[in-house]
Amino acid sequence: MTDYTTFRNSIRDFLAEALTPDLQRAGALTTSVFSDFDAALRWQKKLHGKGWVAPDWPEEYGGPGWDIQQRYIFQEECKLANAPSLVMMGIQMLGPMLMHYGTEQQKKHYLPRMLSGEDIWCQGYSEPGAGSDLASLKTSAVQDGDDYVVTGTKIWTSMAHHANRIFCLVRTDKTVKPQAGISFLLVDLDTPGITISPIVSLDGQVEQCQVFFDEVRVPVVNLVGNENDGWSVAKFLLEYERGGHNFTIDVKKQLRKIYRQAELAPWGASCRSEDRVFQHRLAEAEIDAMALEQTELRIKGTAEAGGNPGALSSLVKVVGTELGQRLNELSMDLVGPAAGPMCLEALDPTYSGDTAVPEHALTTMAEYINNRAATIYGGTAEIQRSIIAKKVLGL
Amino acid sequence: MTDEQQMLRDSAERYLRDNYAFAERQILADRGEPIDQSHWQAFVEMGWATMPFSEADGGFGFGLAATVPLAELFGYYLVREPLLESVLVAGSVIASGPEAARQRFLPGIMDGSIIATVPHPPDPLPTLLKQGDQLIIQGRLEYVPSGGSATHLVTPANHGDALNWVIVDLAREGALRDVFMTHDGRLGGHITLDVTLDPQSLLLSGVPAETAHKTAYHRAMLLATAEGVGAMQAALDLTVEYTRQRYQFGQPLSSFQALQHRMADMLIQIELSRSLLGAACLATDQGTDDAAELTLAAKAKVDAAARGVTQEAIQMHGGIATTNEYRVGHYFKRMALLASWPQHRDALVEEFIRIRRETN
Repeated sequence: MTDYTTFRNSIRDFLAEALTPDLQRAGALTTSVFSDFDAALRWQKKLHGKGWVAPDWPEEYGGPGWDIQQRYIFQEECKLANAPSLVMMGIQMLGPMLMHYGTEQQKKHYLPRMLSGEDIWCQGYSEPGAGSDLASLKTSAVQDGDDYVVTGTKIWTSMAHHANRIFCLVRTDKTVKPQAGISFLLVDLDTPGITISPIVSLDGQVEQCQVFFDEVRVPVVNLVGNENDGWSVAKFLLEYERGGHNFTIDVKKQLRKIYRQAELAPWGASCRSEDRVFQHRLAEAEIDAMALEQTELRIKGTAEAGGNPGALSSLVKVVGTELGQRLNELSMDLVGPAAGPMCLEALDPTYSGDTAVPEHALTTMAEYINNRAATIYGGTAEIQRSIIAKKVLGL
Repeated sequence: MTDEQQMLRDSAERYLRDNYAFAERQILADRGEPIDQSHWQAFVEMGWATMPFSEADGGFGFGLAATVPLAELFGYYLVREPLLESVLVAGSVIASGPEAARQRFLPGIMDGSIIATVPHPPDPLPTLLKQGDQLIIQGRLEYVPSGGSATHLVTPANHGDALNWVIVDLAREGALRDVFMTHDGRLGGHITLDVTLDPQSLLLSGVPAETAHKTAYHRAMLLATAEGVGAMQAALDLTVEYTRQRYQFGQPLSSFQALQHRMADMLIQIELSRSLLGAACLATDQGTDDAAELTLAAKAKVDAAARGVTQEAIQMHGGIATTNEYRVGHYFKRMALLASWPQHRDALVEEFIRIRRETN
């Protein structure tokens, strides 16, 4: 049996050495799913040296061969130590999908480059007219010799301005029902005809882009799976997007922040952690956090026993993201007017000047803003509820 | 679960599904019958009254994780007989008492001839006076759950500053009861005691009594939590079924997304409650440090969840669910009463906060 305490200690030892103050700073200043890009890439290279970039991957593709509990411990230790978050679209979504559907050539070419950080992938799914109703997407790919000619646009493409590749769902047959005419393509973002235009989010920062394709030539060998079979490929990938995440770890980190903020927020001669009304609000959230944690443990148990947790992953997506948003609200109430100043420069990990707000309040507003997206991306909370209604309740 | 535990659960489910008819339950409840004798006998014969007791005491030695599935079924099938309260809550106090008390009272619990109940944590506590060999208990206990159907009361009482637990035979002289029907189809009671007890009725004193106090009320919480999980599941199942069959605007109600999402939310709340219940039972059985915290969290979670789920069940059924004849409203009523058992939710959360602040 694995000695998890020893394992945890080995991770801690590694973090104590490898997670340098500048990287930790980048982790601490993370206000969304993504950390500072340069820091994330530097962190990825360090993890790559240990073979720890992709804990969920099988060993034959470069995973560390950890069991579920070890993977959880690794994620937890990294997160709570303020390690930067890696750009995960390649490692978490595309990688497992290629292992399942990709050709040998595709696996051999792309998987190692994902691990090393040589390739940074972004995801081309949503379009201006196709969000929750993804199957209505219109970006078209028409075969012409050895190429597809791709025309259309993708939106909410996180990190496209840092990425060098994009995986896309494109329409290859307009004559059949929407799901049946979709294919999955790998596209080099340097190809002529591609324009990337950044979108400024509510917090004043750029994470999302819109990507335009104007008669972009993509080699037919970049098709993954069969032509017109892209929908099943995409569904497989979305399940990874939803299933691989441990919300409990995020919630624990948020709670730690809240405890600290409550100690620092004044309440008469004392602090908010002594305020019984606040204590009760926090306790309610903590009780739900415990329920979430135990539900994630149930899922882990099912997965370890070889079962399929099914719609429970939709359930934790809803609960995890909505609880995260509630915790953001608690933080907002604790920092009060300190949420106001924009301080964008201070969110850059290399910044060392003065700021208008204290450290403990620096990220609160940006987190509150950015976390609104959590119930929208990866299948909205409404889509998840529909999945539960259909798959569990049979409605 | 072991095979033995799984068999117990499966046979319980079969029995309750096939035999515990709602209509008959209602007839007995409306008549104010304390229990259904034939069901009671069947419960006992199936071994449900012996599960948690040690093998030395004549039981199976099942932990909470193995026994709560039965409580979930009691919730699901709206069982009104207070068997599990008698066995798992009152019984746990007796089982931690001295040999003589165990020998005298446990056989009755296990063969069903004793129905023991525990009051809400009394304030003030009854007083225990000692006169020579004799003990006298005096006090008044209000709104005792199943106080009208129980044969015995297992209650904390003060002797000076020391906490004690005693068992009182309610047939004895000086035990007076105001019995009333409660909205969950049971018989409650206010109990006034001025009763002379024999020495074997003193179950525990001092530190062991305090430990038993906590154990008993935490078990009561977990039992109520499990019943709540079962009741919520039943309310959801009925709602799903009903909305499939009920047509309005030319289509089944279940085809409306507004309702589908609300039913999904019911399921979410049930599963969250179930997760906490399982974890709390396991922690209690294993005696881990987080057992108390998890227990309080589980009960607080179920109280809030069950209120929402059973209200939603009524709302989505519409008028039919407001009738006493229809089943779903009875889950709503039962859960409304369990919300104050053994204490109101705010007190549980307050205690949760206290423990958290101590451990953090």
